[in-house]
Amino acid sequence: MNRAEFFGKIIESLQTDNESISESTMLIDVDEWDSLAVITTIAAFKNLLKITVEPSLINDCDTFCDLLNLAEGAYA
Amino acid sequence: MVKSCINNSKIVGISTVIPKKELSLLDCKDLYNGDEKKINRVIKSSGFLNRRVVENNVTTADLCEQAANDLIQKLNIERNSIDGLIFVSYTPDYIMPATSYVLHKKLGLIEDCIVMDAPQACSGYVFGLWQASMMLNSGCKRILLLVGDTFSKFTDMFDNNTAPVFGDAGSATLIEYDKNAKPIYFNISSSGENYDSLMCTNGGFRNIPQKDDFYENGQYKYKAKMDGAKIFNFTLEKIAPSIEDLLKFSNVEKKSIDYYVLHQANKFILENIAIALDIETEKIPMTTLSKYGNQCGASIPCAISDVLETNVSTQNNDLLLCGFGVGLSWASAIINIDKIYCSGIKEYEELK
Repeated sequence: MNRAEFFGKIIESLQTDNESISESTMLIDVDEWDSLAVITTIAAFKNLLKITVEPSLINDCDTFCDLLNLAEGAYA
Repeated sequence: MVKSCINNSKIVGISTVIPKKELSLLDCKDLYNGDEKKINRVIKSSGFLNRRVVENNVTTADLCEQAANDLIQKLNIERNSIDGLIFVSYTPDYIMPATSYVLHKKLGLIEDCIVMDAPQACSGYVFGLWQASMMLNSGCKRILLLVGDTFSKFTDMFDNNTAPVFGDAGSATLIEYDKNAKPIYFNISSSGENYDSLMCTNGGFRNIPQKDDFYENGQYKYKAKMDGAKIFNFTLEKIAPSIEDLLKFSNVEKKSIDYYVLHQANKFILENIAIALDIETEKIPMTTLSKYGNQCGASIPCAISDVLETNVSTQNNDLLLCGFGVGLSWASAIINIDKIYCSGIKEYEELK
């Protein structure tokens, strides 16, 4: 799975109607970004990229770009 | 992790009792400031919808007592034949004595009977089965295992971060010595590293009650809290591998397990465990949590009673049970259940 495909899966898991989200979007600006989103994102990392990500690392991210960078090296 | 194979131990009956009072997440107007879209997203992802909660004057022991009496009556068991009672719960009646002694009196059991409390939550059912099986191999003949919790009492746990997902329930399981019983395989692990992931900081002796530890209505602040993301990460990391290890230890093939009855933590966790184990979700009961909530230690017997009542009453089943949570602890068992008495889900009837 490449970076763009993984980004798409993260957005899909948010169940959001917001179509303007890009990598530079701040997580805090997305209504659906909450504690449940942290959990679905952890699952996406594990199931799609076989990576374990600590919740604290996700909480330290400001943008979707920061999130995607956590898996740098794991993309196809 | 500690693996064991224990012989001579057989489940002969399971009874479960839930409170009558039903609450729905849809009625939680305070949750997410009443944002319906968010509430619906929580329901869709977690699977939670309804839960049952006790009235203020009802305790876990009351639910378990009714379940135990149902079991004793339906199986036509002499009370003087029960020589062991284990009460597994984090919501006891008192600090002292252990609730198992209170239940020993209420159930009319004899003095030649070993009773004990085991403070365990979500892994408590498997933990209790393991304890009961050891007692049956140490002189006991018939053990009453009572597992339940009433987490609705921890009212301060129900904030946006945790959401009101816990349901109250009590269960009773009768386990007997039987030299022809198939072996039960266990795999039990503990990690105190993240003990604060799911915790009540008040109620013990580390933090003595202060004046501001009470709400205006007089209810005590247990200061219960749960780090959902940490708990979820724990389940992703530990549960599937521990189940795989147990299957390997027991030489039981994954496909020969009829049902994987996992703690009803939430639908998302169960689905992810199914993915990690590469097993079909049809083999994992997942609907009990949406009807009754996360029932902590009682969720495994409740799922059996709710979803598999006919199966365990009429057929021979190889079940893999797995509980995980508070501690942190995680415990699995492979157990054969052959045409037992199963109560289905019964509602609590308050004694007049």
